[in-house]
Amino acid sequence: MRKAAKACPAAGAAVTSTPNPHCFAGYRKGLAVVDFRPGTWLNAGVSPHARGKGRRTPLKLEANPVPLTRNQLRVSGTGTPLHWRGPRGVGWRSPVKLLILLAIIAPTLSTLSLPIAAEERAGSALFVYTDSDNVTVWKPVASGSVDVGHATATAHWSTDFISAASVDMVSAASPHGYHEIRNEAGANGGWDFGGGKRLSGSWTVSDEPDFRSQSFGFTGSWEFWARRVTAIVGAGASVADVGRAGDAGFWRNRGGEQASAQASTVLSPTAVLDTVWTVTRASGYLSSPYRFVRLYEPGSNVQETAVAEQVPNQRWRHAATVRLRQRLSRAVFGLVDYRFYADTWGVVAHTLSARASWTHGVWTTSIDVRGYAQGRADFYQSHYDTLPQAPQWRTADKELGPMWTALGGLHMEWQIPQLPGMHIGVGADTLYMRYLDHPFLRERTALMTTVDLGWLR
Amino acid sequence: MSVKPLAIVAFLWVSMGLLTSCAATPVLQRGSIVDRRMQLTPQPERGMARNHVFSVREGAQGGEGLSGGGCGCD
Repeated sequence: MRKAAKACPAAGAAVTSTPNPHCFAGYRKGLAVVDFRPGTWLNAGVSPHARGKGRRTPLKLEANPVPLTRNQLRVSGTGTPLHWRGPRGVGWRSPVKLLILLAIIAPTLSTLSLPIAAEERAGSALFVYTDSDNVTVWKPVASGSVDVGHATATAHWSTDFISAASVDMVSAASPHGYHEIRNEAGANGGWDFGGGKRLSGSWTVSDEPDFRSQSFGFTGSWEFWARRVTAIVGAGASVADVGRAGDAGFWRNRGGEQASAQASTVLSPTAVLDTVWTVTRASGYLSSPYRFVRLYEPGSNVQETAVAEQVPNQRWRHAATVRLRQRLSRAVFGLVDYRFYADTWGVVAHTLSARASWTHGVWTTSIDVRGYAQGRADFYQSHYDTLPQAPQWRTADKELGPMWTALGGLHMEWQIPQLPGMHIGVGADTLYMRYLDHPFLRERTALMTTVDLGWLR
Repeated sequence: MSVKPLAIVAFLWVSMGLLTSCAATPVLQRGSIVDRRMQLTPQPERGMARNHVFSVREGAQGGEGLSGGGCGCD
């Protein structure tokens, strides 16, 4: 007989004495919140990690305690329980969870990476991109994360099936366009040290016929000021080999390093402010091996010759974002963010985006809007009339010219009542791109559709 | 473009978040903050695919934020 079944507090109940330890078996991060009176001693294994080792962790609860670390029971001296799920006792020994864990942790261990994942989940999606410039991409994506005690492991995989006959391709590289497959996989692992301190590492590999890359990174976070603020710093590096289809001898090296810092601040019970800064240094061969720049005689519109694109072999990129996440009402959530971007090639960009989502029964609807505008790189020209000289730096890349984009999107998600935690969603985004100074393409419209299936513990 | 002034601006930018944290929010009042709809990418797979499109179709990159962007509640 499981005596806990009788002794456990009911939903919303205030606990005035030491509860039965079994009441807390199987609780995971933040799934249970129970009231306790100040000074209560809880003689229970409140952490699955501690329980897994056969230990019991005495925990003294104070009048207004600092919240416990992830994977522990969340408690407070006052307030109302958020929800109560009752005894479970499943823990990590579930065969299904163990299987998922083994599948994910194997590649993680092989790269010695360690991470941060906020929840246990699994998801997959089919993403389809098609645009008015004859580019179509089918992209199946899958990802998942699991927790075991203080450890977290996550992994993702995606494949791009690309069919392209864009103006770039037809005018420069291949008159008939091309078909290509790109694979990407990544894994990371992390450790929660308690007290709001976490460390994680990640590794990602990407492969396609003319481009191979690997990247890795480490992230550390800690919480302070009574957990009002989460500070996160990260650093990473990547290496890539750039090839050219049909030219087996053409391979160039490209590298990159990145550093990031973020502060997430709890402003109120319904609002969080994020400030993010990212700096990236790209180096090596940064040109496109397929792109050629047309050169003209001064004052002439007749193309005389074309030379390979050539851009500087180093680029520092800075991005600063401020983001507000806000619950607007019981069922409505909103997000708005602004990003400023500048790099050493002279590109300056502004991005403003917003999202609103609201829940009605088992349905959640989200609307996204996003606007982006950028100026030209210092050396970008739509018309190089420099013959007989060729400028040292030259590009025909429309993404280095002045442009703006606008996005509008709708996503609907259905929580499957018969399968707790499971949801299925469909979404569509329209992305309009306007090129203000490009000789061959003035605008492009893309439709991005998604069908996704997810499970959240 | 000099990197050092930008680094100083970046430091101040991130510090701005710290200066706004004057009042503590009790843990039990943070239920909204951990809600999935409050996260940066409620549908991670969709977000991953869209971000890849933006990085290819636009000249700017970065600033999306790091995983674990927390709220002091999990």
